[in-house]
Parts: sequence; structure tokens; C-alpha cells
Amino acid sequence: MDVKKVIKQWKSLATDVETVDNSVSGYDYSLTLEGAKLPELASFMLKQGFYLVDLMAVHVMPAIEVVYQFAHVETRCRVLARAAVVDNEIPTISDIYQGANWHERETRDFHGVVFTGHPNLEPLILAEEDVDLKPLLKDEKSLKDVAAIRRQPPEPKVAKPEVVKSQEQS
Amino acid sequence: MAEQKKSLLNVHSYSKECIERYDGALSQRTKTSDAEPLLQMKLSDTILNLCRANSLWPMTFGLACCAIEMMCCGMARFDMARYGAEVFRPSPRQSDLLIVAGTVNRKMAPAVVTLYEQMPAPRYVIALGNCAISGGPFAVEANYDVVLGVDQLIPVDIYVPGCPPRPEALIEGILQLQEKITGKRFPFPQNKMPEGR
Repeated sequence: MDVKKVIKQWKSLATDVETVDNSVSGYDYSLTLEGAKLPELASFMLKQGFYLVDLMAVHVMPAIEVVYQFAHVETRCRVLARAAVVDNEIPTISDIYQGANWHERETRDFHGVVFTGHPNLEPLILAEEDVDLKPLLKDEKSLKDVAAIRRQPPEPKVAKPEVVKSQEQS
Repeated sequence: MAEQKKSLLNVHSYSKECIERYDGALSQRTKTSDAEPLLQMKLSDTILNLCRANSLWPMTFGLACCAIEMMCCGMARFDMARYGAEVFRPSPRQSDLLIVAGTVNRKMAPAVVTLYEQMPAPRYVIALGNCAISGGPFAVEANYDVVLGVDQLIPVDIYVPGCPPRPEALIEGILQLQEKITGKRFPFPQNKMPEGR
């Protein structure tokens, strides 16, 4: 995997490419992109030897976000790709990664995100009569802003001056 | 000291209150299985019930963690074979006891009902664990998928509480079911302390 070339390609697809500390967050790169660019990114990732670990939705303030986790087969590289859902629709990647098929059905069950182009978007985990239940959507009270749930970079450690306690014994 | 500990040696289920409770409840109990038995011979009913009670064939049907305890019951340490209930059948058509071991959710509910309907009468149901009895830890406001008690779907004969119940509790449930079928607590030969001492 040619890292520089891959990052260059990511930058052409995503609006934001961020290098993250693996020991803190568990992944190496964080991409934020538009939903329309997803199939292009997925086919590029497949070509580079990444596999799809998981796919899920997060209900946050401006719009529902779908989060894709990729990992490389040969090297230790984990990538997190986030795409905001526009008008409750996002293109499917189940034609590129077949494993995404059930993940996308599950996400539709729980959050009601419609994956356009999906071959069979029937309920997978919930019962058939619960098509419009969307149980994991938050109510207004517990809905948070995107910025509030992002992992903040850890504050630089400042060496505190040691407080010398007076050891007076009377 | 010995006098103090003597009371601990009493087998609880044979204590005076317990026997009274059994006898009192027994007269109020009714058969819950809705379908009539295949064989209708009043004279031989007693014998048939005796045979049924001592050869219960449960169905291999586990839904959640309570199923682990159910499996454990069939193995050597707890050994349900002592009470004739070890022949787990893979088909509902061959079994007469449905042990609902675990959480029933709305996706699974039609399957549970179908399996119950496919069992030949007389059929018995044991609800094993808090989830099968009442929803257990899932009986909260945010719950959207768990059926709160399998008795909302099918008639239940014996409730075995616990989260999960110990295998001894399931065996006690089977003994109580035997008592329900025959009217007596079986098997007598295994009762080493009939007087409670």
C-alpha cells in the first residue's frame, strides 16, 4: 500500500482527512465525506485491499451520520469514514462490499436510513410489522450536536509544580 | 449447637407449611393445556399420566442464556435422566414439553407459537427464567422488541424464576410438573428423607 498515493486519493474524495492516534481512538485515519462520493470511496478501498469491518448509523444534531469502518488486510491500518445522510437517503455500497448488505438492512431497521440501490431492503432484525419503528432514533431531549460527541484531542500534559507540604510537627 | 442446626437439616419442600401449600394449591389447579389428549380412556388415564409424567420429552429449544442452564441440566452433574426428562427431541412433533429458556422477542414470537401448535397434546410448557416469565430486565420503558412474558403467547404450566435459574431449579420445575400431571410428587424412590429428617 502506497500511503502517500492513498492519502492523496482520499483527499480528492473526502472533504476532510485526519490522521488520528491509534492508541487513543483505535483507528489511524478519519475521513469525512459526502454521501454521493461513498461508492467511489468504497471501490477504491476494495482495490487497495481494505475490508469492511462494520457499518452503523449515529443520530446526531444536523443529520444522521453513517459510519463505515475499514481495515487493511496486510498492514495495520484502520480507517473510519463518516457520511452525513441527506433527505434520509444514502447510496448503497452492498454492490461493492457484499458484506455491507445485512449491515445496511440493520441500519435501515434501527434508524430508517434508506440505502438507494440496495437489492433487498427488508427488515432484518426487527419483526416485519415493525418496518417504521426506527427504535434507535433519539428524542429531542437526548439528541446531541456532532461536535459534542467527537473525540477531542487530549490536552497536553503540563507538569504541575509539586506542592511542598510543610511537615511541622508540634 | 447440634440442636440449633437440627432445624437446618429439614428438607424445605417437606416442611409442614410447604405441604399445606401444595395441597391447597393442588385443588385449585386446572389443566392448562387447551387441546384434549389423543387417547380418551378414563380408566387408563391414571396409568397414562404416570407414564407421561415420568417420561417427559422436552424440545431442543434455547433462546438465550437460560438455555445454557438447560443444557447443563441434561449433562452428568445434574442429569435430568434421573427424572426421565433427558430425551431432548429436535422436532416439536416428537416432544411434549416446551421449555421456553430465555428472552422471547417479537421477531421470535410467531416461531414460538408455531412450535407450540405443532406439539401433540397433551403438551406442557415451562417458562424458564425471568425473561420468559415477565420480560425480566427488559421490562423497561425503552423496550421495543421483547415480549413481556411468554404467557402472553402460549399457556404456561410451570414458572421457574431466576436470572438464570440454577439447574436444580429447573429440575424442581420438572418435579412440580410431574406433580401437576399425576397429582403426586414423583419419583418416590429418590426421596431419601420422606419425613424431612
